Amino acid sequence: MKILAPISRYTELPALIKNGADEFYMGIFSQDWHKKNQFYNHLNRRDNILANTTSFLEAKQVINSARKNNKKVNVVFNTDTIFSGTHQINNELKKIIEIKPDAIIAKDPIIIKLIRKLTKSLPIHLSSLDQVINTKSAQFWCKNFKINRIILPRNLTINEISNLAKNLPQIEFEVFIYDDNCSNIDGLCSSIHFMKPDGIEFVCEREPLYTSIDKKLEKNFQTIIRQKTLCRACFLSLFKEQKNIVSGKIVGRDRSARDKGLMVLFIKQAQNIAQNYPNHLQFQKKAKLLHQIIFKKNYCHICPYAPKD
Amino acid sequence: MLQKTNQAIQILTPQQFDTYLPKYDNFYIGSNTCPFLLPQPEIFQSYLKKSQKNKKRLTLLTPLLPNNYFEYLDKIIKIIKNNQAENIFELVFNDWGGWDYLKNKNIKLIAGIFIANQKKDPYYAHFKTKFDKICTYNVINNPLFADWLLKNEIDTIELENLGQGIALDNLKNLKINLYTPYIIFSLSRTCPLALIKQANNYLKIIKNCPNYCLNPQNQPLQFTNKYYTSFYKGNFQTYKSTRQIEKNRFNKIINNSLLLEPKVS
Repeated sequence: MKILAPISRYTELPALIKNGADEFYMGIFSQDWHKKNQFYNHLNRRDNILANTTSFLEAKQVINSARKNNKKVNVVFNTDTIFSGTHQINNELKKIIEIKPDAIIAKDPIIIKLIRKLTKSLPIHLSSLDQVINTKSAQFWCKNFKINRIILPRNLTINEISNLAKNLPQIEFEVFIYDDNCSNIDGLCSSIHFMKPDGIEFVCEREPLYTSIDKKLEKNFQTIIRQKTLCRACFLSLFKEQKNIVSGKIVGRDRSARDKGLMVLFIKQAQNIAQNYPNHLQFQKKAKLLHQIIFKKNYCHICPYAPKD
Repeated sequence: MLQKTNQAIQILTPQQFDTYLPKYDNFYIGSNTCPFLLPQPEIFQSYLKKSQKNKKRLTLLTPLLPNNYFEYLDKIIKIIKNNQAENIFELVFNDWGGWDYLKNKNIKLIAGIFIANQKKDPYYAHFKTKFDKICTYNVINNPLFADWLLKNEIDTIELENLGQGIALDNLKNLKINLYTPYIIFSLSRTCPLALIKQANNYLKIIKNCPNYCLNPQNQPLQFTNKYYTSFYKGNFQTYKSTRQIEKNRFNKIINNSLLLEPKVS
């Protein structure tokens, strides 16, 4: 399984490669789009300038430099075509294709068709926002849209991931290996997640504020809704024999360079542990200790993927 | 485009079906949000027979479908065929795998609320001037998407009556069914209510559920600020929209007030 790391600045690349990243994904800030659409600059669901390369020029630098180190770079373009004209979307796609990334991550069926009209050869990775949770959905997307890889959503059980990979050996899959704090189905999240109008919090950030006349229920609710695990390193051990789970994705394009470096370092070292300790329980114990050392905390007690005593 | 608007009601229990049988011609059963709320085949059969007897239409809502639910769809299709009920039945899909599986089985398929993926955060109803175009438009306003749906014989899609309004341009010949008054703006596969009732202390996907959310003793949680009030019921968050509806712009209005209220409002 390759380690897929987020990147938003060219300067992050050397450290991420050194720490063990095999592949990268990035969003690109488009000046043209920003000028025409003002704040609606969410071609990749993160309008934050920190989460995107500052320009197509910088994106090209990232791609060229990664390529010299035999690393691939995927560009995120998982927006919807919600405007009545697709002319602007087409222009943005042309600019992306010109800089020759190794794949585009896309969600919208019309955008995927537009990409295929512009290029037959560029791989398309289906975004996790399309919520492929069953084999029929995976087959639908691959058959009708010539998808090269499916990024599985973050809300699947171990059995569901395993069944998808085993039943569809011809399809490449990508799983989240280090996540963020959302327990909702992000593909159905109808909050415009990348915008915080006037400092208002995201939908998922409001959840712990719910109350009830049943105070016991309220207390239990507020406790459980906060139990969110970021770490999914167990997938490195559980799926290491599953050859078509090709990539483990680390979330956090808008995280600091230091955080990205630490997450990559952890996953790389956890991957080494998985190679050396075939028994999952042994792996989990070692990985838990490693996580504690690097991040000063661990999530195994609240993680649905970690074996429980 | 002006059109005659049909009325439907979303019900949660067989008792509600009986109560509202004289008042509505189209009944929505099942769920957009949770596979555990899909009616068992025997109960579905009972709904179907009553609908046929009383000349009503029956619509089955289906959510995102785990693999094991495709057997369930087979059973439903078999019941429809055995009762020759294709003309009164339709199925709402929110999962493209479900659509692909059912598309050649001679039943009417309708694209559900999660296919349109509207922008439903309740805050946007209060920041309308700033976010108008973004928050009232969704994918079906793109004529290419509308064309693609129509080409795949999907001529109807369901939307929710957002507080900030809905743009109705470029729909081509798509028909719109509209849910009112409750808007579902967030959904999780890890249901906090079920997890609490089953004494779990962390978030995970549960394996079975006796529908705790349908028990009137389990009232939804509530969040109120200066702009709106929202509710957390089962595995979804919702708010009540008070936006007026231009009825003759829609194919069907679906009253979903029973999601949170004991009687239709």
